[in-house]
Parts: sequence; C-alpha cells; structure tokens
Amino acid sequence: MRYGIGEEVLKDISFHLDPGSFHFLSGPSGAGKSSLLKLMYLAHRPSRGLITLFDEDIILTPRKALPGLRRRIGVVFQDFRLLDHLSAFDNVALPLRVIGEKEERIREHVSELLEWVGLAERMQSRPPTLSGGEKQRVAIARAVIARPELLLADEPTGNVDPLMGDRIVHLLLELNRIGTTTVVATHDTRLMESVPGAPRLVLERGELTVMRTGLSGAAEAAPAWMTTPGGA
Amino acid sequence: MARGLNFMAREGTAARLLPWVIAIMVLLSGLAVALGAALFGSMRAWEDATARSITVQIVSPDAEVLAAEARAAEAFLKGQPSIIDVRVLKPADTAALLAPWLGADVVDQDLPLPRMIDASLKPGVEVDMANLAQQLAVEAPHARLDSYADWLANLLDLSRTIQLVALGVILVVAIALVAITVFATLSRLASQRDSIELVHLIGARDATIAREFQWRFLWTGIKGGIIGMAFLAIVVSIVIYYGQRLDSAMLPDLTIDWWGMAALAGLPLATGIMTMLTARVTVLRVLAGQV
Repeated sequence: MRYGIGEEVLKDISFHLDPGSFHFLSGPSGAGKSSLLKLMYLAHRPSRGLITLFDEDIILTPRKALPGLRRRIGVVFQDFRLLDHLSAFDNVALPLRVIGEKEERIREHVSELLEWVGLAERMQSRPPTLSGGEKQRVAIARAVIARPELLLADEPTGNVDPLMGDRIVHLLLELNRIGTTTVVATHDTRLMESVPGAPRLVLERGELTVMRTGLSGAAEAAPAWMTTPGGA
Repeated sequence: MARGLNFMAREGTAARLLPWVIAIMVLLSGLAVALGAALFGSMRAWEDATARSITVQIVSPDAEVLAAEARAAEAFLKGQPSIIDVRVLKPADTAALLAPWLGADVVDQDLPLPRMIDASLKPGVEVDMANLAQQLAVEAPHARLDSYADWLANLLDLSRTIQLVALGVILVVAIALVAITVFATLSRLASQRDSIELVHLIGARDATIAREFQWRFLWTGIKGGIIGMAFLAIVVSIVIYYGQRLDSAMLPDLTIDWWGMAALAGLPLATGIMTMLTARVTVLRVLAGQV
C-alpha cells in the first residue's frame, strides 16, 4: 500500500485471521500499523495485492457494498474520533442509528454499555468535557455497541489508568469469546502480556511477521466453543 | 422511532449567512414573478376591454357637418350586423376626456373637438375593418375609423417581451441559487469531512449522509424564502403606496390574479425544494468519488 506517489508503507504482507481469533498488532511508530488497520477497516483500498474480508475480495467489491461490510467492523480509533457536538450517549448510539435500530433498544443497549464502562454518570456529557480516559471508553463503547464480527482497536488503553486498562482488555476478551475477531494495535507490552497466547503481528519497516507467544496460538486464543459465524 | 444521525455540527457564521443570500434571490425572483403576473392580468383586462372596441372620430371645423356626419355614421354603424352598442359621445363627454391632458381651461375655450362614436364588435364575428372604413367614408367623409387591434397588438408584444425578461430573470436567479447552494454544500462537505468519514466508516450509506444535508438545506431554503417574501412584501407595499399617490388614469391597472398569488406564495417552498435537491445531488456526486 502507498499514499499517492510516495513509497510503499506496507509491502508483501500476508496473513490470515481465523474467525474468532485475538491478535495483537505491534511494531515501532511509523511501521505501518495504522495503515494496515485502515486497510482492514476499509478506509483505504490497497494499491496492489489482495485483501479478503468476510469472504469478499475488497478490490473487486463494488463501492455500494462497502457500508454493509463496514457495519460488521468495529473500530477504536487512536484519536477517538468522537463527535464533539453529540453527547457520549449519542456518540455511542451512532452505529445503531446507522443500521436503523429502534430508539427504545438504542436507549437500553447504550445505557447498559456506558454503565459497564463506568460512564453512567457521564452519558449526557459532550466529549470536550470528558477526560482522555473517558473519551477512550466512549470510543470503545461505540466500536462494540453493534456487536461487530471484527473489532480493530488502535491503542485502546493508551489514555487510561492500569485499572481501566484491565477492564477494557476484559471487555475486548469478552467480545472475543462471543466470536468477535479482534485485532489490538498497541505498544503496551503489559497489555500484550495480559493475554497469554495471543499471536502478535509485528510490523517493521512495512513488513510483517507473525509471532506466536506463550503456550498457545490463535487457535487457543479463539475459544473452540465459539460458534458465531463470520470473521476475517 | 428512528431519528437522523445528526452527525454535523452547527454551522459557522458564513453558513448562517446563506438564508440571507437566498432571501435576496427570492426577492429578485419574487419581483419578476409579481411583474410577470401583474402584466399577465392586465393584458387580459386590456384585451377584454379593447379588443372588441372601435371608435369613430369625425373631424371637421364646421359644426353642422360634424352633427350631420355624426348622425349618418351612427345610423350606418347601427345598421351593421357585426356591430353592437353604438354610442355617440356628447361634446361635453369628449371635453371631459381631454381635460386631464390639455387642462379644463383650454378645452372650455373654442377648441375644435371631434365628435366621437364608441361601438363594440359582436363577439366571435370577424370584421373586415378596411372594408368597414371604406363604407363609412361614403356615409360620413370626415369620419375616421379607429380599431384598437394594432395598438393592442403592439402593447401585447411589449407586455410579452417584459414577461419574457421577467422569466429570464427568474431563470438566472434560479441558476445562481443552484450555484450558491452547490458552493455552500461543498463548503459544508469540506468542513464536515472528518464527521462524514467517521459515519462512512461506521457503515452509513451515501444516501443517509445526503439525507442529513438535504433536510438542513430544505430548511435553509425555506427560511431564506420566507425572509425574501417579507422583503418582497415591503417593496411591493412601498410601490403600491407611491403608485396610489399618482393619478390612476396615467397608469395601467396592474393586478395579480390568484395564479400569480399562488406562484408568489409557493416561492419559499420552491426555493427550499430547489436547495434541497441541489444539496442532495452535490453530496451524492462528491461521495461517489470517495473510497
């Protein structure tokens, strides 16, 4: 992949994510982690190569079919990308409103999730009044509210204290256990160590290697009982 | 019940000026519509009043000749099956007609006045005016037959030209409205780029995003339309006020019929719909070029 006529930021990368697997994506700054995630959440199309997502060849997928694929992906952006004029509640509700969910169900689900991430009291607050950690939790809640099949998180614990970091990891693992394929981009060694056995996709100078750590690989990270269809 | 995404932040100062720009355009097109509708109504009134009218003037310095030829002409006209309502104007009536133009003092003096005979043509009957004038000349050699057809045709031509100009103004204003709406939409797309990218990545379709724009622009257009109509009402009131201070005999009676009123009343909604559709098409075209 390249931006414009610049150098290729990702080249000759090949990997496969089993449905329901949990992976970390790591590497030094500028290695191409965000670019790889952008390809995966369909913000960009590759300049060459092949990406197959939900059994669809992304290069050949017509543009009008992309929203359907994007609705199956949840993204936690590194810079949160919250809409400042909307309350925390409305930010989290966005993915449900996009798919036309009923307001009663939206109220119920969003309230429950915001309560779970410790923002019950801050539901009507707008992002400019939230702390970095609170924003991050709103961003995570928005990414997972529609129960995506693929969750891509870019430094999801970057702005929270260790305790909240643990809660977020727990949430990501819970989602993974019910079948959500999860990729977490992070520099945080402690975070990676908190999920033993999760394979690490290590990007360096635009090239990728897969490191299997601990006792188990992707097959162990993805629970065998998981039956939810789909994956990446 | 599902509600909109409401992903766009409130407009900045520049965007808040848009309704006022639209209001000026609505004022211009409203004036054009009002002028066109008033001329249309007046044209019909003039046609009704004058298309079937003829006037015979008998001009002679000899009073006896005048009286004799007036009687002969009256008898001739009454004998024509194609002519009805023959009326000989008394000298005092003729003087009264000329008084506003020449002044009562001048008319009261020894000014030689023609004898006038008003008549109407039977509706639906075609009359050879040249032949009628020839026959009249035999009965009353000093008589001159005036039909208003030529004068009316010229007046109608002028009136239609003014209407076409008014239509042209409306078209130009409509084009300008579309252009400024496209510009405003592009500007809004640029200022909301991050929000649009976000809702795209969440899975919003182009049509969903365009819908958000179109409702906002519909309201902007209607708001501008209402302000423009308020301006128009003020301008028209001023014109009517000063028009009424003039002698009405000097001015054509300009009235706007119900169709004209309906066209004016519909301007704000038409403006809103036009801005709405323009914004929608612009958004869809721009988004179609994105990933």
